[in-house]
Amino acid sequence: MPDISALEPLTQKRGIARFFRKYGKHYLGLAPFFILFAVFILGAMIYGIAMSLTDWSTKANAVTEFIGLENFKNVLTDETQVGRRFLTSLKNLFFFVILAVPLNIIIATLLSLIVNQFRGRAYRFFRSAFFLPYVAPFFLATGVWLWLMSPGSGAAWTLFAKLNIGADVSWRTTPGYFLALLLMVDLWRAIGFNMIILTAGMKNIPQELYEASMIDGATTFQQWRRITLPMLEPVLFFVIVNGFIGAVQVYDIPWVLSNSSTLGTIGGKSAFASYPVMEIVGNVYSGKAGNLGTACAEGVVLMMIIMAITLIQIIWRSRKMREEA
Amino acid sequence: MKKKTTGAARVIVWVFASVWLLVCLIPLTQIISVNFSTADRGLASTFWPNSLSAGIENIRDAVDQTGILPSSAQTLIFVSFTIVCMLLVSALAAYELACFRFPGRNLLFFIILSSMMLPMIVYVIPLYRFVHGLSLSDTLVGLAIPFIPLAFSVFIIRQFLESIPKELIEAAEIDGAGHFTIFFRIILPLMAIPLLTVTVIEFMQIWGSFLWPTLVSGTKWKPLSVLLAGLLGDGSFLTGRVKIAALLISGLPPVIVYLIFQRYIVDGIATSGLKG
Repeated sequence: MPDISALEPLTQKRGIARFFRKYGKHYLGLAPFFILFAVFILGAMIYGIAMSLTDWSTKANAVTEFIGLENFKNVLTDETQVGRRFLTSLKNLFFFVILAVPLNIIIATLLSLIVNQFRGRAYRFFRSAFFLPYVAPFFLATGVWLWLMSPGSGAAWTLFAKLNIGADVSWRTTPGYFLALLLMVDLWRAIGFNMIILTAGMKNIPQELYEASMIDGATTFQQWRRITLPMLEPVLFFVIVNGFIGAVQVYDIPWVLSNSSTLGTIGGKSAFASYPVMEIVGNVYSGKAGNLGTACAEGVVLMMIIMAITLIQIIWRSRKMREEA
Repeated sequence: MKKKTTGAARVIVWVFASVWLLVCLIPLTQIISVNFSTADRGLASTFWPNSLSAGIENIRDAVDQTGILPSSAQTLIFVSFTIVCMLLVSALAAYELACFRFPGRNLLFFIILSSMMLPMIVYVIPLYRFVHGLSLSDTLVGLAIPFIPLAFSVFIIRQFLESIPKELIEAAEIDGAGHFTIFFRIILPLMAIPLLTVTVIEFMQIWGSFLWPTLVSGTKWKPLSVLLAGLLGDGSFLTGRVKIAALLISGLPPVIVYLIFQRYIVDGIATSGLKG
């Protein structure tokens, strides 16, 4: 064999050129999406994580300095104003999430089981109607419920007052009732979304399973428990994971609800009506020294919460599946 | 597909379905009833409309007092511009990912899939400063930027393109058509259904988006979500009827789009949930 090694660099160079001639156009087609994604989404995310370690601020000609974990210390103690507010908002978030996600999933599952009992036109009608609240933009949903729940005159408020619930309070300005009002608006709007996904999942369950169980004399409720829900597990899992990610970032509805002169500031002076994303945005506008670094640190905390919740669910599910296998 | 249900279950199903139907619809029909009724009726006890002219009067008041018309026009421009850019970028990416094989394809698709789960709050603050630094805040491009690289859209279009026969592309290649000519001339016209699906879903989503618009909007650009969120404060000087008329105008476009294209919306959301 003649000396091949001397030829190698040449073929390699040709190889790269050939590679690009062959595949280059595909990367070119993907470029617009990935460049925008890399610069504006991924790049911003990494930058934000880095800047959470600095005293970055909106102040003109302020010098940004590395301050280590100082922001995280400030944000997670009750010794600073920012920290007190953020911790309160996390506490509010905890109660919102553990109520909103399970209630949403349970009601959405029940509704899809119900919708799935109908056929043809009735099926399509109920599914469309139950999805309608989700179509209404958040400001429409919040506006309608604020009006229905306005103290003294709102139709829903009067109904609750007759049942002796909140008869002498304004729901949007009273702690506790605020959460109830928030859940009311959020669930009214968001349940339809999960219902659509769950009914579609139910349509994918093989009909033979139901036919076989009917021969065995199973009732509708038995079919739900033994066939529908177990077969729906992957879809339910997606809906739950997605539900948590969405709920942790709750922002627009409580913003509008707490936009009240009685409360003074968005989220309330004691932050009783505040949620973490509202605190983050509030910091951006506060104009205080190091405000952006603080906001970034709060964002990182929230991201870790989301990642932890998602990971726990994934691990829990895979462990359960291994046990069953 | 016949399924026998016991009598008791049948009754329960109907009762629950009807109750929830009322819960879903009454708040929405109430807006219409109150808007189209005369001012002497109590706001809480109005369950049906009684006056068309009073309704028109309310809407005219809302237009005069809130600046809702320019805001609606801006929202329409913002939403359309965003969707057109987003569709171009994501259709092209979906075309490459669905119709061709090349090194790194699976990795890139995996990145797109996982970014569907990426929470917006993680990047929104630095992105806002970035856009601000480029002097793009309070501009059309600034408003549109984070919505353009949309993984959901790539996902839906790719899903559809997988089912297109590859011979179509091979035949065009033999005829000497270029890579991007094939995309614009042959593939794009075939994509009407997924493009429509993404368009209607994103029309609703972006119309109601709030977090990003609050950050970048200012005096020049004020989408409806920002305008309405401000109006709904109880410090606002507007009367109840004017607020309700404003809600009616601003919430109507997404609802109309839904009622016309509901099949696409429902199918699109269902696929994304089932395959995710």
